[in-house]
Amino acid sequence: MAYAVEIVGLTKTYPNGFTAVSGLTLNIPKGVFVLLGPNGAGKTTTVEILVGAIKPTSGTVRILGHDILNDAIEARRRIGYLPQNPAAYDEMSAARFLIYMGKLSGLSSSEASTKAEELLRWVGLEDWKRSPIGHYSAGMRQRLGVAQSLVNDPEVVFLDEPTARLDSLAKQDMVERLKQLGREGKCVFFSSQTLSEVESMADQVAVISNGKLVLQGSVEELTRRVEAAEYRIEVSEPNVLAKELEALRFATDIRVENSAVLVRSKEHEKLWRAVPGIVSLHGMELRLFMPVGTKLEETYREALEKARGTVG
Amino acid sequence: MSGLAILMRRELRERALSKSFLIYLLLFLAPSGAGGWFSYALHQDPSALIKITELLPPGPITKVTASVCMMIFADIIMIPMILTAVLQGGDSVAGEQSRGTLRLLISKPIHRWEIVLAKYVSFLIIFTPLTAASTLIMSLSVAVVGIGQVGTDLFLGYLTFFIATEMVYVSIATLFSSCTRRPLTAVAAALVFVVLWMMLELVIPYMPQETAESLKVLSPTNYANDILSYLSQGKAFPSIMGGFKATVSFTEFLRSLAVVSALILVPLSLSLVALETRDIHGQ
Repeated sequence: MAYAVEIVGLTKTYPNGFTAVSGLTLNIPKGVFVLLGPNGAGKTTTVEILVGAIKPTSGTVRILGHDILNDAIEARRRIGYLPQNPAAYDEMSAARFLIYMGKLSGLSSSEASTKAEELLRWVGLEDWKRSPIGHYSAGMRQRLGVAQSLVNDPEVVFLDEPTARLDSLAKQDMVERLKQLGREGKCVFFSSQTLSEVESMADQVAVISNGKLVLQGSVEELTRRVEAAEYRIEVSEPNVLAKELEALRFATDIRVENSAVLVRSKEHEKLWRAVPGIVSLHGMELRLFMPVGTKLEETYREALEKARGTVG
Repeated sequence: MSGLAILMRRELRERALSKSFLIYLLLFLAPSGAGGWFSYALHQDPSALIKITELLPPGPITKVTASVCMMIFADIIMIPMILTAVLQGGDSVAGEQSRGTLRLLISKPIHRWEIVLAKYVSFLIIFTPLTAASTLIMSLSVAVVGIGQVGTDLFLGYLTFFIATEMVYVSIATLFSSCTRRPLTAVAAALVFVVLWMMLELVIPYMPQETAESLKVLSPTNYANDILSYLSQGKAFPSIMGGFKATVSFTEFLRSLAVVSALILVPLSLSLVALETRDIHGQ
């Protein structure tokens, strides 16, 4: 299988001895790929190495077969990049900024102009295209940053936390747009700390912690690995329910918090069947029965805990 | 269009259309007016010139000539000229870094050296005509007030002197900009060189000939002075003052030209190396 991005043994150690990325090996296919990790995990350093801003201490990176060090110009011709803090020239208008970036990416003036118009419509900034970027809100700058990263119609686009400054509606909209890019056959490399938008959009996920890969796979593969998802059950008599659950071998870590019972289970279907039976038997009122967080969140949390050596 | 041409076009547009360009215009053209007025005042009453120059080792300058007026003009215009060079050079790479746009540029299919070169060449394209206009206005002022004609050789000598000096200081400031990636630090570091060299320049004429010769080696302005002396065919300096030579041989001219070129090219090359080899982090 030909991968869009091939990373082999990537390491970055700074002159002060701090290793931000350590022996990272990843093969990234086309589609939406999300690099997850907590603050300081090495996500931004990885992205900055991939776009050529930072030179790796060791390891190789190939983008669509082009080595980022030995064939840098060809590799960069095929990428788009949105930095964590979207940057632009404040005195320029959005249209001029996109045309400038397009021309630097190798487009002709007319191609850049057409693409700029199209992208400004796509990110909903058409009405603001002549205003100086300095007058834009943080969310507008973020949308302009995404447009900038796509101006040369790149085959691989690196987005460093693209939804970070967006409100919930704009975030959902952006997620849909990125999914669309993935469906169009582009490789959308997306780094994030938040999982809520990831589960619905990612084809592949990798989790890094302290610069090391701790988990990689498709969302389906990773959610199957959940060892014990947690559930929140709100009933009229939580202590009674907790006592009944303690008798079930597939229910663990049972605790009562206010009017809710929190319980973990590896056998989800059995729990789903057992709880309504107990509630009915004792004539309790069932107000809420739902998993706490998503399955991917559970996987993510477990992977990070294992990486820190606090689990197993 | 190549990456260099696209970058240069933006640089030229940004500089020429910015509000600060009006300030630079004033900084370059006002000294011509001030120089013209000062020349006229001295022409009317040379006693002030005698008083100003009476401490010079060869004795005071008593006659107000075109070359004396151009010397006074040079002293006036050098300050805004050098400050402009330092500010523009200091902001070059560091300005892109502080805006966060350096990482965007680096992710495009262009060479890093094109970023530095585009900024350097754009500076020259914008400020060389301003320098020429300023020198021309001063030369015409001297003729209009009746002091005398500034010949082509003296005009070209001064123009070369000014441009060479600007290029040296832009190169040095660009080097600091590329190394520190902080505009203020870069400007401050370059200003240290400016102050040291200016102090040296002020001290040299009052030194005995032997000491002046040894100190002269350290001052870039003296190499530029040699170029000026040669190109103006000895008309730039009316008499030998400290380390300044009225006439310069062709060999000395070539040597000074080589030193000035090195002072331009070495910092510029090092700034390219610094940008090429050092990582570019976020703001």
